[in-house]
Amino acid sequence: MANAVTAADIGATALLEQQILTYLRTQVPQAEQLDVQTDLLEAAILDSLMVADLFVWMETQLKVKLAASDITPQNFRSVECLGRLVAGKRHKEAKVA
Amino acid sequence: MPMHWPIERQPIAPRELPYFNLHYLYGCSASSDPTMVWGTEVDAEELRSFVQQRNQCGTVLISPAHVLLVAVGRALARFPHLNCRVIRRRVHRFREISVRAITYDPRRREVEIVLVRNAHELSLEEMAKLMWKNQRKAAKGASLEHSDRRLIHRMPDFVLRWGFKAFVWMERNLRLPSIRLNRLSSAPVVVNYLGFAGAPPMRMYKPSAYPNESSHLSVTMGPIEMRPVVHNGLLAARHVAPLFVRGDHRLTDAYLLGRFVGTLRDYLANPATIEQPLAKAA
Repeated sequence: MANAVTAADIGATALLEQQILTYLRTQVPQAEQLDVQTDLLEAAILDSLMVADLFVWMETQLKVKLAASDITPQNFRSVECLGRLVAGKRHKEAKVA
Repeated sequence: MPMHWPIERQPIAPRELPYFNLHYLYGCSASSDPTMVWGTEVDAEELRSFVQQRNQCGTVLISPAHVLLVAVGRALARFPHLNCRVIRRRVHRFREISVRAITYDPRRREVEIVLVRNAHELSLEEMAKLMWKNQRKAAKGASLEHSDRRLIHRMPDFVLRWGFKAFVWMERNLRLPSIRLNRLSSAPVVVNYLGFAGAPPMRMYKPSAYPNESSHLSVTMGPIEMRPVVHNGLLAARHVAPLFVRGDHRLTDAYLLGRFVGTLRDYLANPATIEQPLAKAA
């Protein structure tokens, strides 16, 4: 049972990553070659406008509550990290509920 | 043959226009433009690696825009002659060293202005936290600008036109206390970082004119790009960024502005120095 939950979690995170990836590809012209592990900061995919935009998009479209303190280099390093952030927040919210 | 009118009969209602367009449409009347613009280039190799290094180990995401804001605050602290405001024909010093940071919301086609008080005293992390907090608010439509905007939308056009005229006239001619309406006027400088994703290389930039009706000092940095430059006597491809500073000739001259630009350029080219104690005012 525990394994099934983990697999579902992995599946959900992968789906989140795909959603974030698709969003970035539509928003940033140079994001065509982007994959989930691309360093978004190194590749200059994220500027301050894009960070704010992505932040609000994640809150509204992925339905998670984020705080300004979540804007850390660790969380915004890659699509994978962003997926992990959203999944973690959802997991916490579900626990509280 | 029917007559062709290339322009629509009805103008766009003022309430449909972004705030800054309203400002220049209805708030400005100066017949002269006492403006000088000093454009230069900053070696951004250090800046890039500084930001990358901070983002490797830091707890808040840092961007070149945050470094620029801290650098402007510190440069302004060293040039008190520029930390002033012209009201009528009198020059008044500001009590604090504050800067106005401009961010943009492309979905609403509106600028968001953040007043950063005592910018010279903030650490890079404090500046970044402050800006992210404000940008998050703005992106969610929860900033003061957004509530102002909702108010503007409810105003009849003629009230809006004359309201802008009256407000800018008062700003120019009276020493007003800081209230919500003029909360952004408490700084002599506006700072703009135009290195957004997809921005074309910047060779020339003319920030808004009429400092009498906008800002006495305007600092704009463009996108960082690889360019051929002479470095240590050799031709090399390096990361550089354009930097444009517009100054009000009623407050500054080319010598003073040049020194201010030089100081700012040094801070940006050697960003680690923005964390050192401030040197004596020029």
